[in-house]
Amino acid sequence: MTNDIPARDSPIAGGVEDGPVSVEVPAWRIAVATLGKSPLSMVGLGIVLLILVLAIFGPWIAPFPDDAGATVNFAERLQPPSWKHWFGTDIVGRDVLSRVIVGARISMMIAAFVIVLAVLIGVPIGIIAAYWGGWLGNILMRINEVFLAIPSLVFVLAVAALLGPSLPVVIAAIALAWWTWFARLAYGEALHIKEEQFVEAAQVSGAGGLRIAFTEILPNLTSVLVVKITLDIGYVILLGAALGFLGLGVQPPDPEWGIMVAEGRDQLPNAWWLTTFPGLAIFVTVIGFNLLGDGLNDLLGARQ
Amino acid sequence: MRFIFRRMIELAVVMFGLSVLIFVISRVLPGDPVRFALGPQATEEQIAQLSREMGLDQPLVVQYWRLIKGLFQGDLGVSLTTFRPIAGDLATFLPASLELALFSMSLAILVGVPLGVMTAVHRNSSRDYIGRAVAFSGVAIPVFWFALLVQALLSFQWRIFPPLGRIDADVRPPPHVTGSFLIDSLLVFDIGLFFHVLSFLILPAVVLAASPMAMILRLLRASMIDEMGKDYVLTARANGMPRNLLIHKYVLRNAFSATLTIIGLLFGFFIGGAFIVETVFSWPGIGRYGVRALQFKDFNAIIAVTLLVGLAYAAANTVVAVLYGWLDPRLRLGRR
Repeated sequence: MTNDIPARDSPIAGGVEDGPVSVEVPAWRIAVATLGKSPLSMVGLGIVLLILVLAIFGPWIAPFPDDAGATVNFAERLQPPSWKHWFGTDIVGRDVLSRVIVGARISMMIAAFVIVLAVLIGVPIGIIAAYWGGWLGNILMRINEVFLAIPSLVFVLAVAALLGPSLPVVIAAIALAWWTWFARLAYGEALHIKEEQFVEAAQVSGAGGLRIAFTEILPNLTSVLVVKITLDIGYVILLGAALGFLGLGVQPPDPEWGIMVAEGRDQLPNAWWLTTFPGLAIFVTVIGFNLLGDGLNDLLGARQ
Repeated sequence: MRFIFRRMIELAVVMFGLSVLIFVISRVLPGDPVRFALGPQATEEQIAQLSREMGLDQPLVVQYWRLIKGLFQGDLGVSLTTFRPIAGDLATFLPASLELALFSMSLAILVGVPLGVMTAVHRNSSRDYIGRAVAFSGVAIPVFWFALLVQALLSFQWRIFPPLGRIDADVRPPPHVTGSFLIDSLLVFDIGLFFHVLSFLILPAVVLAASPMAMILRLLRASMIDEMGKDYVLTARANGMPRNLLIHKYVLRNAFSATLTIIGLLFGFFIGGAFIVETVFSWPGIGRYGVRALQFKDFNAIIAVTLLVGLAYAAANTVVAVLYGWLDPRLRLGRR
């Protein structure tokens, strides 16, 4: 898949530093220009940026930031959407829009921590298994298969339930299920890259195994990883929200989107805004990461 | 045959690993399920006694051995919330889950495959864009949210479908033959009952099918387009082979074998989705049972359900691998 991206990072093809021969357009400018040609990817990028802004500055943007916690305002309970409360109010009178905005931080935090952990565990394992192979590789990939033998949601639910649900547990549980996908991806890619000439060249020049694995093979995985990470952020958000919905994830009164959907359930179909808007937030966020991921896929694939 | 045999061995190895994994997680992680099961009023002696009855005071290796021995004897222990044998409970709930799963999976394939072919053949037409929009939404939509909205609108608001359960409380289920109410009601020629049962099945099945359907559509579209760009397609068309024959007999078959590898993974999403859908629609299946066990920290039941789900998932993947070998004979030889 990624046969030729190596050129840039490998010592034999490099030589860019040696002389002022080539005038290189910075890679990010090509990226922006290419991505800009695909309207759907731009929509995805827009959504992702919006969610990031909400996740970072949410409490300052939300019209009623105090409503994110366990406040009560019975005078305004179950109000339908209005100019004052765009998304209506919930059963104790909290502003749903504010809770949805502040909730972006929880979802993004879960996704960010899970992905970082999963990459840090999965990628080295995948590369090591592919590069050294033999019994070590065999054992590592067998362990990987065992983790893959159970659907992520069920596994995560079981771990979260047995440990007692909370934010750190949710992150740990999802990461424990998720590293396997990165290990598998890194393994598959590294198997191909291992056969490339520049790896052989490094071997001949006497570079050690660890050095080759992490300075020759790893950099060539980045484009595949970037796409996978982008897509997976969306799926981790979905999974985290499902946990919250079942009461086995983040706990109330935190404004987690899945919990909010569950809390609105008893008020359906009359107070439809309680379930509709938090669910919509999840939906739009996941679509955003999906569109961006697909765009990046075309972009990085096109470089080949 | 040797191919199938090898897959079976692999299945056994993975299941062994899974049982160790689940066992370790359930025993080594902190938290005291016995204390939880007996409630806050339990005395220390009661807790100690129940722990002893369940063999929790034994060394871990002995406990694991007991678990495995029990599995082979069909004894999965006792639920910590209902104090009934778990194996019996699972046997009661399994048919409902199987019925929902098989019906829903057929739906996903019957809709997803034609849509995948259509969007690939009419690439970049308006049909393609609509199909892809559906696919994007299907993958990104939170199952629990979709389920609630559909239930609120079609059941509570417009009263087209019953909102909860598998059959009305005052209706007698058909005599048990296969365990599927749909099939069993047909076996006794009770058409009224058939449609009654179907009306309960439709909503959960459609909601559950949405995401796998979308994934099938996306994958099949991608591999069809890939396949249609290959030389043999060009040659066949240049030689005047009818387009329909070419697409349906050759391109689809090749594209489908590529899609099939991933359909195995799809079962994973599917089972996870079933846990949520069954909970929302009160479908009396393994998923709802599992969610309850999880919420009440009934760890005997959690272990049993997790192993059953793992087995179902692994078995489904084995079937896919065998099918794949049948579609693509190259794989039967040589490496896996």
